[in-house]
Order: sequence, then structure tokens, then C-alpha cells
Amino acid sequence: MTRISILRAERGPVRVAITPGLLQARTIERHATGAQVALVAGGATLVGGDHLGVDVHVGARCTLDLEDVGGMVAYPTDGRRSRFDVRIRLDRGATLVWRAHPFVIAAGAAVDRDMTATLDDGAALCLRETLVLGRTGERGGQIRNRLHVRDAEASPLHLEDLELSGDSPAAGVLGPHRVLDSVIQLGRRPAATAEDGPAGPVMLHLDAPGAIARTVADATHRTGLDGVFAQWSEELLTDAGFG
Amino acid sequence: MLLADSRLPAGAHVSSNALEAALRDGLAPSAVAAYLASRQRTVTEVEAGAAVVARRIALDAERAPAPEALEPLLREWAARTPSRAQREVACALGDGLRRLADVLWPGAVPAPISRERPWPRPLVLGLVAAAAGLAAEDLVRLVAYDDAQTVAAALLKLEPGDPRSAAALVLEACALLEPRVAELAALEDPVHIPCTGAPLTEGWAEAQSTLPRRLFRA
Repeated sequence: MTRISILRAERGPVRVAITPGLLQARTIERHATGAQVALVAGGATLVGGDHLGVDVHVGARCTLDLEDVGGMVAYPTDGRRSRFDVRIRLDRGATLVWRAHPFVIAAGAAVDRDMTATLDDGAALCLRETLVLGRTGERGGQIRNRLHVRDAEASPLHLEDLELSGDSPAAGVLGPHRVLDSVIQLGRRPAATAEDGPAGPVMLHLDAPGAIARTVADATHRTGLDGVFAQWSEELLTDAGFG
Repeated sequence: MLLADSRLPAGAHVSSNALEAALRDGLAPSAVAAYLASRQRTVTEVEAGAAVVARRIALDAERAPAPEALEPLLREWAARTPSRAQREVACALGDGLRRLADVLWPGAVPAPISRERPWPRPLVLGLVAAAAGLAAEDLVRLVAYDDAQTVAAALLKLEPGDPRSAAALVLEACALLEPRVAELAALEDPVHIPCTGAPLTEGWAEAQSTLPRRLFRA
């Protein structure tokens, strides 16, 4: 389990505590209210039976700008599923921006990816999530992707389980497509939501504060979400006095 | 039986369950069976789960539950329904059903907390089921039937074909949920309601709400 925790110090820059796991985290920069951390897949890819875990804790009034270095590929398994668990805890007024790269589920791979986040009052989260079924020319494997986000009182902000499979595409879920690209912001509504034209991403305005911009596509470079992610994450970081 | 009838004056005929937008987006009419199957595994489980828990809350309250008793369920349902268009139409249809219930089962459905936020259809359906003595398993089947029949009836208007094949589609879709009926019917805690999403369907629901020259509102 890779752990990243940042807390405000009484004086000087925030304290960043990192416990390495299969994924390595490196502090790039830190200052009084936040830090920039890179998450490196330490030669790692996911093969059958692997269990990867990342635990992120952002202390009160801190900001963490987390960037993946390189994407991740889940490789074919011989009947054994692999797991990728992410736990996120945001204290009061904390902000997390996670610049995640595509997660590729190769043909024959079977993955359970479970992301759970708890947001205390005034906390906000913006993350990119790009799920890709198959490497080029493949139909891709199978993933159970869970995203469960609640506030500190356990009231739900957003709950979604996705069952995607390259071998048995489901009409109305991903259809014949192989890429599901999303920008997910929770805890605060993005001020700027690009006008969704006929070809633009779908804008899902959640009931709880937050929104999801999403595109179902056939290639990662055609999803039109880079701009949305830049805009939303910039807005959060600026509000947090970061950057 | 009455609750499942689309001729019931509750306004359900305005919905195609986003089929109209799906067809315009390129879903082949021959893929409607697959669309129905996906709906049974995704949105129907959420709706049926919410209806079952609403029924449970009403039975435990032994009369119409206080609006506050329904609020946690409402939040759990809304957090599983990321499309605003889907939430809005569920609330509009729920309001239609509530007004009907006020005449047929007076007192079964409490007034919503705010006028702008009527109870969504699965909650109202669950409350009515409690008042009408409908068993939880039958309530799950009713939600499954209602979802499939809405799409099938819309299909006949959008892509006129043999009504007998549309009926067959409905039967086939309902059969898919059957293995899940007992588990869904046993739900008591709203936290345990399934939350399986369907990104394309949610996108079609959003597109449908602004579709030019549309036949259906949803």
C-alpha cells in the first residue's frame, strides 16, 4: 500500500509523509498550503493476483496536486483477478487534484478497481479517470470499477459501479466503444461548464455539489476532455490559493 | 395490475426511457433487446431497490412516513442517478403518480419536502405498494416491467413494427431480472441499493431532454 499524507505545519511548508508500495510517490514541490506529488508506477503493471493500493490523505486546508507518471496497464491473467484500491480522505477545506493517466485493461485481464473517497466540509476533489478496454487492436478485458464518495456524515455525494467488458459489450453502457473518459469533480460545482455541443462531452450535473464531464470514445486522444480537466482543476487550485 | 398500466393517468407515456435519443445516436432498432437487457442490470436495479426501501419505510411507519424519514433514501437514490435529466423526469413522473395516489390511496404519500423537488417515481411507487399491499418481490417485477414496457411502447411509435415482437422484448427483459428479484426485494438499508451505472444511457437521457423535434420528453 502506497500512502501519501500531507498536513499543514505550524511554520514552513506542509509536511508530506510518503510510504512506498508498488507505486512510488515523489514530492516535486511543497509550500505553506500544499504540495505537488508525482505517483510513479514503479515498473509496475497489474498482473493476475496483484493487489495495488493507494491511500491519500489531505489534511485540513491543504492542497495536493497529484500527478501520475505514465499510465497503467492491467495484463492478461490466468483466471486470477487483480485489484487496485484507492482510498481518499479529504479533511475540512482540503483540495485534491489527481492528474491520472489512462488505465488500460488488456484483453484477458480482469480487474477490480475500487475508489472510495470521504470529503469533509468544504473539501473538493477533481480527478481524471480514463478507462481503456484493450491495447490498440484488442477488444480488451474486463473491469469492475467502483467509485463511492460520501461526506464526513456518510451522506452520499456520488456512487457508481461500472461493469465493463471488451468481450461482451453492453448496449447503453459502453456499446461498441472502448474508451470511457471522465473528469469528476465532487464537493463543489465547477463554475465553468463548457457548453455541451452535439459532439462535446456529456455534462452530468450531480444532485450533490459536483459534476462529471464524460465522453465515450474509440481512442483516448479524441475525448475532448483535456480542456475541461484543465479548466476545472485550475479553478479548484486557484480557489485554494495554489499555483 | 393497475400500477403497471401505461393508461393510468400518471403521465408515464411522455417517456421513452431515452430510446428516442439512443436511436438518433445510432443505436440500431435490432439492438433494442440489448438496450433493455442493460437497463435491467443498471437503472432498473437502482429504481427497484429504491422502491423496495420506500415500501419498507412506509410499512415500518405503519402509516404515511414523515417526509424526513424518506430523505436519506432520496439522497441515496439521487447519488446513484448522476444524470440531472433522469432525476428530473423521475420527479415529474413521481409527482404525477403522487397526485393519482392522493385520490386512490389517500395518505399513502406524504407531501414532498419542497414543491420544486417532488418525490421521484420509485419512491412513490414503493409508498403506494405499501398502501396497496403489494409484496416486495412483485414491486421489483413491477419496476422491471414498467422500465421495459416504456421502451417497447416507445419503440412502436419511433420504429413501427410488430407489436407482438415488442411484447416479446418485454417478457425477455423481465426474465433477465428474475434471478435478482429475491435479493432486491430483501433490501432494507438504502446504503445497500445497487449503483450500477450506464454511461451511454445517461448520456442519451441528457441528450433526450434537449432533443430537437422530439416525440418524447424523456
